[in-house]
Amino acid sequence: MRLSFKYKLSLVFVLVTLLVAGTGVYLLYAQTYELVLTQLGNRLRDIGSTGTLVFGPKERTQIVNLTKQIQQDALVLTEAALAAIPEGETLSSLAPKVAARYMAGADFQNLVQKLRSIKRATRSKIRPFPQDHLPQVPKDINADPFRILYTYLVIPLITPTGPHQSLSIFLADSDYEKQPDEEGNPIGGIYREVKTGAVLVPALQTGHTKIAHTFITDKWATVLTAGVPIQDADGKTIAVLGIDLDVLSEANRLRRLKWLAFGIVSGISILALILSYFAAQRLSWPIQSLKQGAERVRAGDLNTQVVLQTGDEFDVLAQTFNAMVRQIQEHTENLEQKVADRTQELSQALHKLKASQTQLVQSEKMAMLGQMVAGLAHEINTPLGYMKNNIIMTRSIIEQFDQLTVASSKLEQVFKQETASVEQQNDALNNLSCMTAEIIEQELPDATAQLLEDILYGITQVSELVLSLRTFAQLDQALIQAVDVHDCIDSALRIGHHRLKHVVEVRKNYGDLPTIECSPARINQVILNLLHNAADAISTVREKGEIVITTTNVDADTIQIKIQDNGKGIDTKHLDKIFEPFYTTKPAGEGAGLGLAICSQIIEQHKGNIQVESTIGWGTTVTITLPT
Amino acid sequence: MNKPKVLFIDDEERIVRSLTMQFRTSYKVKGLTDPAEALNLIRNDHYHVVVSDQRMPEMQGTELLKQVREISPLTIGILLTGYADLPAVIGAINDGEIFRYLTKPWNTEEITQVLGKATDIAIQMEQFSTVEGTKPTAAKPTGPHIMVMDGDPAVHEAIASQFEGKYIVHWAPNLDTVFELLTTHDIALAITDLMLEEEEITPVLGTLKQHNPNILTIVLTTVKDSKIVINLINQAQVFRYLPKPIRPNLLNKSVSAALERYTQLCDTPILTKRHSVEEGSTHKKVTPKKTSGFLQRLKARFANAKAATT
Repeated sequence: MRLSFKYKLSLVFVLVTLLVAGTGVYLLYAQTYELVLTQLGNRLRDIGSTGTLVFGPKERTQIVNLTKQIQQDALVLTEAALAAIPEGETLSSLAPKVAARYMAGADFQNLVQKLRSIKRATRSKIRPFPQDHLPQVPKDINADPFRILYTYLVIPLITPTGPHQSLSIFLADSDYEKQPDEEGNPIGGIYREVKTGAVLVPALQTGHTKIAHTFITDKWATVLTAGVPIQDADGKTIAVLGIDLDVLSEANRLRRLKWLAFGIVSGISILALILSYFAAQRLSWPIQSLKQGAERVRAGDLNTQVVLQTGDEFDVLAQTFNAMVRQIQEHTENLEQKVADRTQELSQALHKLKASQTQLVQSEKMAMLGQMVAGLAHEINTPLGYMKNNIIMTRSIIEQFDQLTVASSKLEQVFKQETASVEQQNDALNNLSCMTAEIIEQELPDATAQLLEDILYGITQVSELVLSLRTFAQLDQALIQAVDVHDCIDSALRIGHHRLKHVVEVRKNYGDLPTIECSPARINQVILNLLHNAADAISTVREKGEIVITTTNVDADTIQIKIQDNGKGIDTKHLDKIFEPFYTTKPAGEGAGLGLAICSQIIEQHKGNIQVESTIGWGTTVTITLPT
Repeated sequence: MNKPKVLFIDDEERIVRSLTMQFRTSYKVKGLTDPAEALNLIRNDHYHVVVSDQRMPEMQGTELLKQVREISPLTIGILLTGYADLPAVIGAINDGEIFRYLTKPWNTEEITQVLGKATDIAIQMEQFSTVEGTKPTAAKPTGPHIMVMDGDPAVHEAIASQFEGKYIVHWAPNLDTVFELLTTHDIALAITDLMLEEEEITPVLGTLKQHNPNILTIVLTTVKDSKIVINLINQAQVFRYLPKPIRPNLLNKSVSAALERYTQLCDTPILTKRHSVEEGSTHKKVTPKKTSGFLQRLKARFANAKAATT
């Protein structure tokens, strides 16, 4: 159960008070009870021992006689019947007639007279002399403290196994007749005493006077009983004189005392409860203040200060608490400043990172462009090389032919000239034939034809290349347009020709595709990049590989481009990260690891999908799906 | 007269056709499109000069020239390529050890000149190799001297510690020191950056090579410009081109190879012809002041040395 410290503290107070007061009052009551009991018991003992004196030799004989007669005339009672007698009750052991006869007898009557004399004696003795030192004698006559209610004689109940351990038999009673308010105890009544106050049987058995240790309250009265043995001349106990002292008044007073004690304890407890509440409050307020302070701090009020000035440990605690709160406040302020600083730093770093990422993407794009340009330069420079050379050579050949023309016209001139000598004619002819021979020897006409043909071929090559470059970059066309994907692939193949031609055999497996809406320049870029990757993968493991490009029309809305190579393949551990920017397995300086990232970005922009499957040693398949 | 034999290899037949046609009168020319075939040819017949394309389906030009050199050490290799990408150029230095690096479309005059020079050298070397026994037993340089031309002392330290006890390593952080070292020591090998005192020193290396062809050069640099590297071949005949930072293993291999070559060149001076550079090419350039002053000093020094020896 959750109790506040205050209530716990007051509970402890109350319990301690209850324990102390309760124990004290109980001890007081017990002492008083003991005192009353002892005093009454001693008085009763005196009365008892005096009372036995009225039983002289004659009476003792009468007791013995009556005892014998009862034992002779007693009814036979079963053990069960005896055992069934309740405490304080009697069961007659004589037939009513026999009992009546005995009671009418002189012996019995004499004994009754003696018993009555004892009873009367105590009363008469006290009544006339109210004790002055007992001023609080109750005014109620019925509560007279020294009234002997009954006197009686009991004899042992002899069963076949010997004297009974808890039952005795009434021999005579001061009030044996039936009274208006009670039955009386006729002769022969087997009596079971109330166990807590049993004195008769013990007195019978021990032969000593026994005083009850408690008041016995039955339906008629509250009494203190004494059992005083009566012995014959031989010292043998023949009967016990029972005396019941009326202790109603004492019992009442003691009961009242008990209630009073209870009341006192209760009163003290209530008082303690109230006092302890205030005391606890008084003691616990520093803790309450600290608690409230802590709650305020928890709620975020860092200006909280707890002021106690009690000068004790609580004060120290409060000061420590205040110091802690101040520290927290300082830390919080510092932290906020730090967080603000860090946030700024981070956002700057992020900004820089974004900028440099953009730059890197840009530079990767430029690198891809550069790679492309490198290839194109080679593709263009090769034809340019032989074209230029061929033209220069053709020029010199033309010079040779020019000379030939000059020579032939000179020959013609010589022959037309009438004055020309045969020698001159021969010279001119020789010159011409020499030149012709040289031209024929050098196969110049054929060579020239070949040179020119090569030039023309070169021009075709270069213009085709320029055309495909234009197609590839789509420089003069709209960004998004309906495109035949096959054109894109072919364009990329042309551009990548220089890189691919030595390394791979490209096998096209084109399906029947509808046109798709896309940015052809971007798609070209993706395909070229994938082709380059495939070529790289192949060239690391084999001289000549194969790339298979398959296109299929998956359904009405989707087309698929599959680029398969038989290169080295990609390790599974790299496969997951392959589209991540800056992820590369190439050594530093060879690609920033952005190629596939850019590809995937482009395909995503087209609402398509790009996937890579690969097996080490077998090759890689890249599958692109694009919406139509 | 025996015409020098020249072999052209290019996967584009029109190039081969054009070149063979151009030089068919000057040389005994042969044109091929298949490198493997070319290697077979070289094995069976001596060619003075081999001109190869770089990008070919079967084999890279540098690889081809490397194999040619192994088969026929006296054959001079020239690379004729359509696009100068850096790896190819570096490969041409380190693997091909080529004589010249030419780019397409080529200058007719230039290629004629280069071929002329190459064939001259090849014929000289051939004549020498046929006259056996004239090999001078040059005194083995005691603990070859290496000159580190680099402004960064860390580079010198790294190299000096790597070759401690093996070679004598000098540090030349500026051109004056370079000059001083050249006059006081027989430098076998210069390990150099391309930038010294914030100037590009390709012309210096060219002059160095021109006037003292025995000195071998290993370029150790961060510069990655294919144009500059091509110049290093054509104008300075650098022996190796290594990227910074230093990779000790690679450097060690290169230095060993260079010193071996140095010994070879000392023993057989005719071989230095193979490493002759474009003459006077340095004058065409606008040379920075400091470097040009140095160049004059260097030229004067070698002129004096030559005068003294003759």
